[in-house]
Amino acid sequence: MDNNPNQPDAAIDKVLAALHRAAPPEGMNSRIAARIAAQPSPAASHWHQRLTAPTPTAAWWRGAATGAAFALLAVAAVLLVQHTSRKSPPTANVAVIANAAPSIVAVKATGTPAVPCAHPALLRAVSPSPLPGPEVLRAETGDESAAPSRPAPVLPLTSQERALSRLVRTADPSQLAALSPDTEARLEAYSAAEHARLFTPTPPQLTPVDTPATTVNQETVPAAIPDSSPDTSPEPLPAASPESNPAPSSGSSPSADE
Amino acid sequence: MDRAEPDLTTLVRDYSGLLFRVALSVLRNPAEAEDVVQDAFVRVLQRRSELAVIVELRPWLVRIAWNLALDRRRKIRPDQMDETFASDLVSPGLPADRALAEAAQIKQVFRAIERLPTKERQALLLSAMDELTTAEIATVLGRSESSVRSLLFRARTHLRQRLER
Repeated sequence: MDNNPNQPDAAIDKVLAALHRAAPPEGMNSRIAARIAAQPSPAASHWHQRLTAPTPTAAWWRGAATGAAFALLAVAAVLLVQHTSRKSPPTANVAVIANAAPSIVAVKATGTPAVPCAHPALLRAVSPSPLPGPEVLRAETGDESAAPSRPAPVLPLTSQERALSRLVRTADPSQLAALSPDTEARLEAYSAAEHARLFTPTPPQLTPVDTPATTVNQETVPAAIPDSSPDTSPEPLPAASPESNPAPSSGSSPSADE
Repeated sequence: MDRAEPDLTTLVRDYSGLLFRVALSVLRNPAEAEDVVQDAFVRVLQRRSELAVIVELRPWLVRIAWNLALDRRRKIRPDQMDETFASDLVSPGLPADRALAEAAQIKQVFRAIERLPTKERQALLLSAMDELTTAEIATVLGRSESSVRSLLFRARTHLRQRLER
């Protein structure tokens, strides 16, 4: 290389100038034209031709496309209206207390009778009405806490209570009497007296003058029977009236069961 | 308002030489450069509908050829670049000894250009095309005009420093 101080710049310029002077090979343009001719022309799309061609068929297709577009818009508008009409304000104001954890949902009823909700998702939607502040909600919940407690609800009967109730309704008097010791003792005494009256041999008939008539008191008969033996005491006559029967209310005499 | 769509044959006649030189500066292989030019015009044919709305046609075409040349350069090895390319660039009519010395010098400059940063190298190679203004080079590279000037200055400075060593 030469010792010229401008030699690097000259070399650079020489190379750049050589690049600028480079001539394309002979016949390059014809080869490019042949390559372009061999390429399939980029045909427009089928629908583009069908819609833009100046023919009656293309006009019909343009009209059909326009009509379809308007129909789609109409259907979309109808669907939108139906969708917005379904979003009527819910019958309950739902407010969510954001500061509480877990979140508390306070439902303020409007007084209308409760009906099954056809769209439960609407209940989850927040009402557009302004929500009460946390202070208001705290005050409301505080009042509820300070209110007097109500009696506990009636609990269902236990199994023993249910069995007792069934027994009172369906059992016979002797079983019912077993529930009370006094009544049971009186019933046993009455039964013994009846047994003694029916199966003890009767004494010889006395004249009506010798045998004073005695009246049997309903209350004294069962109590006097245990102390009297069949041999020593005169046989008491049962009362003719039905009131003399000590059975509670069944109407059947205890002797009938024996 | 849409302009009249330019004829593709006219485009080939007017711009094929420029596109060939742009591709040649990148590939340094005339056959590869010609393939790039053909591919560029095929690409133009495929996007023929856009021709009417293209404002600056020359930078648009150069950019197509430039990108195609960069893509092709990634597929070929540097040693596949034509070794005789430097000899072809020697000025005709020189004595044999001077021609050899000049070819060696051109190879040295090309090696120095290859070691430049990418942006500086690209700006320098595009600046070799006298048809392209700085604004058009900026359009092709996607940078501002001042950035292109800065790149050109730094490219020449770096290149000079490397050739002086």
